[in-house]
Amino acid sequence: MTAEQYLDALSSLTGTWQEDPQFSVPQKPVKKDETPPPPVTRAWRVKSDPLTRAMGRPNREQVTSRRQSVATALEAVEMTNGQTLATLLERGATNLAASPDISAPDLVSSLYLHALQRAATDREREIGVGIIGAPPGAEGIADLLWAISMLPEFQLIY
Amino acid sequence: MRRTWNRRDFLKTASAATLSAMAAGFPRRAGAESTEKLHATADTLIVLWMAGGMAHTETFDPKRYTPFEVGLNPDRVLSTFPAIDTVVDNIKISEGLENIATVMDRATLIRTYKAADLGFILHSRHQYHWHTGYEPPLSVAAPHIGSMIARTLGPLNPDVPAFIDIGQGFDNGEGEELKAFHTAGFLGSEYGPFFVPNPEEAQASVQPPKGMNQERFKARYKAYEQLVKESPVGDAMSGYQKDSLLRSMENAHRLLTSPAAKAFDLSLEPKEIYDRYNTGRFGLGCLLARRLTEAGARFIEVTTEYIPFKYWDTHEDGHTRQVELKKMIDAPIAQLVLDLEERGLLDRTLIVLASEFSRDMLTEGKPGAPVKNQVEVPPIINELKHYGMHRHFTDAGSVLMFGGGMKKGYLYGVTADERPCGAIEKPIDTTDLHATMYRAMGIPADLAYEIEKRPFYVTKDGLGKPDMDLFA
Repeated sequence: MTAEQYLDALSSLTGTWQEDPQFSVPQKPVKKDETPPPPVTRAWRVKSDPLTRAMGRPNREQVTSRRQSVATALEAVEMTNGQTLATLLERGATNLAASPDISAPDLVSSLYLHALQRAATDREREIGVGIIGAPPGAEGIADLLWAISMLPEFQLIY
Repeated sequence: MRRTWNRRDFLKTASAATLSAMAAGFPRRAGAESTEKLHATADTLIVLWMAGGMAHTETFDPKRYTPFEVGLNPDRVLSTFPAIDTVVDNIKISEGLENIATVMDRATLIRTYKAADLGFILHSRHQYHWHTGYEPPLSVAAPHIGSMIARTLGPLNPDVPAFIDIGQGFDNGEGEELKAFHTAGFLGSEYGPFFVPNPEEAQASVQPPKGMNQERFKARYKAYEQLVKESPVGDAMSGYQKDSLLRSMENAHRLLTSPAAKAFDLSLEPKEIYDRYNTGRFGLGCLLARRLTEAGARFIEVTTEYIPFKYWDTHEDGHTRQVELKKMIDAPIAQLVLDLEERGLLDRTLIVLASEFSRDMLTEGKPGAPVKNQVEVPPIINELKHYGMHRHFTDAGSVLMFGGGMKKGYLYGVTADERPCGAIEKPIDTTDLHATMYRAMGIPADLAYEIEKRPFYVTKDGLGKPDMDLFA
């Protein structure tokens, strides 16, 4: 995945989007009594940060005709301990943890379905529940989100 | 302290991306078979970047000193500090650099660096040129010289990132422009800089994210490994990219937990030595550079940081600010040289202190190629804020080198004693300066990588010529 695809996928998974967009996009008109939907800011609209740069997002002043398709050690370091991703995952996990009355196994199943378009196996569900704790806590959810988003199955497009 | 890493260790630990890219992957070297094999005089290159334009007549090339007085004619002012002796008889430098003066016998001092003519002077364009060897704008994402070196030579110690950049933040006024050259460009981010914006927090670069303790960090990685193993689609998606991702994750985790990571922890330095470096962020950056050199880094840049109108970018109060700037760099640089020498590392470590251009009281650009003035200089100076080198001067500049096979106690080039204090003997431009640096690292100036079916040379169009007069 490109940097932007990765971030958008995580945002879609957690319901927490990028902040501080640099470009406006036309908004769907909202009816008089309707509540406007929460803003959805895709990654292409925000400035590059250490995470996107490590993932190969080029500087916009230069024409770049391709991006690398192999992972790099620097990218992996940034994704392993970089604050940008950690903060994004924390926000996402807090959002998910606020969902009312969802059990740990159901949350793991839901994340696998949404992230990988398949059901978690029994063993994966067991590992996932072990990470997030019962009832699910924000820290554990952040760790599971991280683990799922680092899987080759998530990151590589086939 | 270990300084040799054998091939077996390197192959075991380097990521698949590194190995494939270096051996046969993208981007390929162009014309590799004909590339001359050169004997390197340095294994590590440290660039000490004086961002913003370091005035040569106020630092390493002092001219006639004119003290401040009300009613001063600016045309009389070439240096606002007197010169001091160094341990080398024929080399004087500016007051405020007394510590560096004591190690000048280990130095080669180039006084005749000439920046390119890029029209109206913008720092980021000259910095781009200095750091990539190419004048912007380009149709190719040009790599930083650190990335070129990382790609060509690989890491010295596989546990230490090959290219480390210390001290530059990107949240300032020209942050977006700075990003343009702080990149591996078309070489791919495997060779990009490992950023350490604040050396005091360098340890955080190799630790779990804030709020996560080591126990949770390790447990998270263990759970990840389990999920990878349990994935039912694992074998069905075997492939080069999957292997490179898993290997990169493993290498990242190894880097973060390896003994080499201790190099990032400045708190492990004895207090007495720490205090000698501690003039602020730049000084501690020099300390970090020393520790990383010991640990086996290949290319390190320590910057005083470019922020428009701050630090060396003196558009006013030049004299007053030089006092603080020289205090910031003097002791740490001298200590870095002495410490590397004490550890037997100086001969194989090339240190290069440089800036994108110099400054002058009156000349903007260079004679014969003047550009629009950016600073108003009054006909008579009555206030201290106008006393200093505020305009951007490209006809000379100082570059100070230590170690890495360069001559010792050597003065290269002559500049004029009267305004404009430009290069009059042995000028050297960015292309040849880079050729010299690459040569020290064993890289020929006409080495090229293929991008979009055409060669991209490490020096501009492969035309750089190292000046062998600089080598011992």
